[in-house]
Amino acid sequence: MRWRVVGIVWLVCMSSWAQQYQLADILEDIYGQLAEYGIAMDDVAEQLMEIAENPIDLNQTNAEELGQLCWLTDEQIDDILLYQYQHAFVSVYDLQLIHSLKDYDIRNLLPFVEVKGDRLEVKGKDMYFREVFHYAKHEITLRADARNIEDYENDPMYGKLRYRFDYQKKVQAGLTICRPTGGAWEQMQYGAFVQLQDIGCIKNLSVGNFQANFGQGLVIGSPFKMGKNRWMSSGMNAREGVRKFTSVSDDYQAFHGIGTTLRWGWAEVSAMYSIDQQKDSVWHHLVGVNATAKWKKLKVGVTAIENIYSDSTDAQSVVGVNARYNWGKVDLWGEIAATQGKRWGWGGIVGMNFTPISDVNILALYRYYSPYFDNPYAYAFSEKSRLNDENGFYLGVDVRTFAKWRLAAYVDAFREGYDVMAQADFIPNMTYDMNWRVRARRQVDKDTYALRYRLVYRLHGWVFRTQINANIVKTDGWNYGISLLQDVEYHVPTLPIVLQMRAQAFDAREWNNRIYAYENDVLYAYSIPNVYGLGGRFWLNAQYKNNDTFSLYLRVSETIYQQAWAVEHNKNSTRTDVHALLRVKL
Amino acid sequence: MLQVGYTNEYVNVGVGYAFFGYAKYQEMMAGVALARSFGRFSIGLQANYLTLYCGDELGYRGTFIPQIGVAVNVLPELTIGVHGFNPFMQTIAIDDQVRRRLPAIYSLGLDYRWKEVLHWSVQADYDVNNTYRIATGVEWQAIERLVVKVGVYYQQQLVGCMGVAVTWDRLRLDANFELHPLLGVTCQGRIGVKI
Repeated sequence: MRWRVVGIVWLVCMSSWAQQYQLADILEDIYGQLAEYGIAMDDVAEQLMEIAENPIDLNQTNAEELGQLCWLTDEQIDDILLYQYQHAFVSVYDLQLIHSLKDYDIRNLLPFVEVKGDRLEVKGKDMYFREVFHYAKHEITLRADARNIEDYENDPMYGKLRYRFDYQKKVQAGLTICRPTGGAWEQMQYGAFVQLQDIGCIKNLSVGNFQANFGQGLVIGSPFKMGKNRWMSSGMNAREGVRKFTSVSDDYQAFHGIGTTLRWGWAEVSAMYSIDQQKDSVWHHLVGVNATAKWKKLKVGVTAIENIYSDSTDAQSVVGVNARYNWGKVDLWGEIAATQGKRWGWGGIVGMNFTPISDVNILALYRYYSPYFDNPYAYAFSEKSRLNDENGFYLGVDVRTFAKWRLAAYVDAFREGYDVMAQADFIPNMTYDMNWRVRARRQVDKDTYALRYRLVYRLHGWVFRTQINANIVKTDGWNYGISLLQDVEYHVPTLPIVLQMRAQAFDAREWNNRIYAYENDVLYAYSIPNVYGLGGRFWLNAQYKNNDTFSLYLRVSETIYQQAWAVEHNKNSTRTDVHALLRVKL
Repeated sequence: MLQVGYTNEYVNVGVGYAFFGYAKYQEMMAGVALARSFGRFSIGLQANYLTLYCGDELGYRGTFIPQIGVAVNVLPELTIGVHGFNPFMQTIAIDDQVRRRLPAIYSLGLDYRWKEVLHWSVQADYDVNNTYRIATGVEWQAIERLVVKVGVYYQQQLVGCMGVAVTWDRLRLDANFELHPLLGVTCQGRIGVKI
């Protein structure tokens, strides 16, 4: 009884802090490792923010929905669903009773889950379209930036207007108008979408900007699924099908048209059509279809797309077959695809994710992409950003056996070299935690060795984050890069104000030694800039959230370069950014 | 390669024979091994005779090569071992003037057992005449009759390995695969029979 009381008190304390900073820590941990791949992070971050604002009901969820939380392993998802089936959740405190969820797993989960309603209630009440506009939520954000960067000296202003319509996540619509920095008014960027989700047999219907993900992504994949990181299950449970795409700045990763995924029991069928104009007034049409069947623990899918160009450039066809089989503690999956442009090319990926004992998770995969396999819409596991001419074996291990420690490592051996990473997390309590990460990478033209140490300390509304990054790179000779940063975050008591600030010093004079460090920004703006050169970087964020209706965000950042280095590299000695965002929710 | 072993309460005995080569060049090695457990530590010794056939002109050349290994159960779950193949760096005379160096390999390894179904092993080998190798792998008893193995090793290149072992009563079949980034896939198979 005493331990249960202690546990409940701990979880109550955690809940009140969780959403305020945990989301930032999770995003930093994920994105810090994926920064080099040019992934649409603001789209993924927005997806997670949506989940945080509309938490997943633990009594109504399923594997696909929980799979959006990429840091959950297959075993943890299975255990949550098993508990849901056997007992039903009375409250989020019941998460403590799931053996595979450690304290830090629960802490990371709290911002995104809730318990409401009984498991036996029918999932979602009947939807009446006349209620859609009456009960929908509206959100308007207006953002303005000013950037003192040498590339935009004549026109430093950036603006974005964003509108979101949301009815129970079933009917969503959005419009984004963006004026990029240095762009003329004729170069405004627009993005819009309308999405219906989980209505009858409609798993998803998206009109406007959308993205799609099938199988392992060799035919069409989600940009977030690729890459190597500590969250080894990332992408394995990712929701398949069509879904909206909200980023404007990463518009090249989106489809523009209409896509739908329909679901009947064990079968899903998807169809999509996209059109966009490329340079020289050439129109590009993309048509795609997918059929997926699920039978007990086996899932098999077939995907095909056709690219057609209006100038009669050779069309390209891509077709793929994917399969996944879950056998207790083992998850086997794979996909093979072929592209037909001027020549046939093929690619395949096969892998196994298994949990030999509780708290140990192992992922092994092999991929081969032939030199003629060239599909610009493929996003799958790869050493490079484009799936082409690659052959490699990946082995990752995640160990959570030891109390307060989490150990993870991966080894990726490919033709041109290798990539090895090891990370240790020490999480003794809710007051502080730290992690160490080392990475060694050999590529054709360089060897890179990197080290990162991060300490987070929380006390009475204050959060301190200290991080040291260091690397040495061998190209023609050895060069080093180092960065030391200190973040301070303060939640003003009795006022809805959060202040965040950073001071960072860096010395990475060669481009190969650049260092990425995640930064908090205004709402819906997540950035991982790289620091390169010799100097310092400082920023201050202020958030004012009066109530659920009105929020104001302000950020000022400045990078100061050593004068001699700036002159040598033809850069301004100071670069200043001011971001402001106003959000109104109705 | 062929190996036969006999175990009893006093000492474990084994004999082995390996052959490699073709018409103009062959290597053969035969060995006798003795091993015994002394509670928390075990020791093994093997005496090998290596024969080289270097064509009709040079004929057969041979030499003895010892092998020794010691394993210590530091903890119930943790075993540390050391091993030496040709620890005295024997060479073999090819002709009156030429002596060929034979591999002299020193190994250090550990094995950690998680709940009897999962083994994690790490091993470092150093060949005096070549380079070092570091290997690590996991062996999982998935079900009673099936073992799954994954691992990697580094020896100038990073090589991934996977394998499975299937047991039927007295019969055990092992299949292992390596993916070398330059040389491609290598397969090894093993059949073991308990008589």
